Amino acid sequence: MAVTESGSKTLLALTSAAVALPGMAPVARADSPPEVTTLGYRYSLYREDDIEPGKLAAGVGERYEIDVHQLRLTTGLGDTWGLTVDYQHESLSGASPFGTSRGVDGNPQVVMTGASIEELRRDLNIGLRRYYDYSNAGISLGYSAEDDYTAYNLGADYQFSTEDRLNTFGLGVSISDDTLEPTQQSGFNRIKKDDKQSLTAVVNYTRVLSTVAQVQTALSLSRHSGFLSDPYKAVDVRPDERIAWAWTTQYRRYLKDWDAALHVDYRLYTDDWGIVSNTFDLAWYQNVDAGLRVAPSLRYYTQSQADFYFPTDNTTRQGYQSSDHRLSPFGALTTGIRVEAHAVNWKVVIAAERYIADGDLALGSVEVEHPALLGFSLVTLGMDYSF
Amino acid sequence: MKSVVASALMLALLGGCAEVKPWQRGELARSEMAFVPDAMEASLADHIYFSKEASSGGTSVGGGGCGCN
Repeated sequence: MAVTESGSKTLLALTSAAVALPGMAPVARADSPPEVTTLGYRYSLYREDDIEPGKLAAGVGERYEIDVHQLRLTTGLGDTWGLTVDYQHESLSGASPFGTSRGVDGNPQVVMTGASIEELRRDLNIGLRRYYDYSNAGISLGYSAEDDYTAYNLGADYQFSTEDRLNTFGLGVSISDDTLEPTQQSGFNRIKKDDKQSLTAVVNYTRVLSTVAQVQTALSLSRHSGFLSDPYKAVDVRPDERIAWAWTTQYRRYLKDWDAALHVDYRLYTDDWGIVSNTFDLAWYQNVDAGLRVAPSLRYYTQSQADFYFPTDNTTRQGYQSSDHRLSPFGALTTGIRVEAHAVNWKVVIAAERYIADGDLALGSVEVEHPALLGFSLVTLGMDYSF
Repeated sequence: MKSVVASALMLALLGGCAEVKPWQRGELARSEMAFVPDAMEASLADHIYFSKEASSGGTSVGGGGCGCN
């Protein structure tokens, strides 16, 4: 079908209007600020499974339960600026792994903290973005506070598109400056106060593949330095530097016959602590009717262990060591379902996820599974309102 | 081997590129086609996985550390 210049302008205007509809998040290459103000709220309940009695050597087996409240404001400031404000409030209770010991059967057992921990975390992030014809640039400033941990972060990024807007290139950097002040009783490896810093650089590339498909790929490099051990573990001595690479690719395809969108994501991660991980995400966004969407999802994750990971603690061992289950080899599966009802200026969301980590889910064989590998459930309720 | 498979997949994807005019991008602009369909849910998911697994990093920068364990 031939399209006249005036026709193309009309269609372009219609396309732009569609992009500006509430709930229609602009894709990365749309270089214009939000045309409406949107207020969003999410409440999430995160609950970890208890440690199985046979795997518990000492302490409280009830792990974390966290209430999370999130608020988000996005708005345009004039014709060329956009503002985003995110606030997150978390209240946590429960016990966490303190260390490991060898059980009578020779397998490691987990030692949990002796009492439930009560903790609050508040996190504020403000982002400002300037839009140009074929590019945009943003800065962000963040602050996170807990009783024993304070973090400041600063980020900047720049995205630019080719004239045909089929290709978008981006680069960004961020720094984080964190201070730790452990509040619990002294332990073998307890510090009074220390700090760590993180520097991350990302380059990304987005490509429109067709009228119904697009792909984004990104490479990130991070350097973490300072006190990187866990001050709440009985024995935990880690290097004071960590260099990490992550390569992420995301593919989106709209299937007209199904009125659905397929999401396929993959991330390869590696660092100089010896960890290599692979993450696969699949999601299917099915439109049931004009105002209802259902999205089942599946995530598979597998990681190798850190070079200095040991299944059981040993206070006489020299050099780096950690029995942290997060540095052990394992695989994990997350299954999720998300339901979204939306109209012109509002959106209601309900979502649920179930996560299970297990040595048997790892790609490689795991000789000794960590007894504190995690299972959790996450339920989210939320609403967005635009005006 | 993994890199070879990934590179081949990438080439296959890019090999299918076609010229797409601005007025042909209605499907691409749909909210379910966004790389991050819901920023708050994605932020929380990143935060949880960052706290409970050994890996981090994605397609964008931003966000700071936490004492989560």
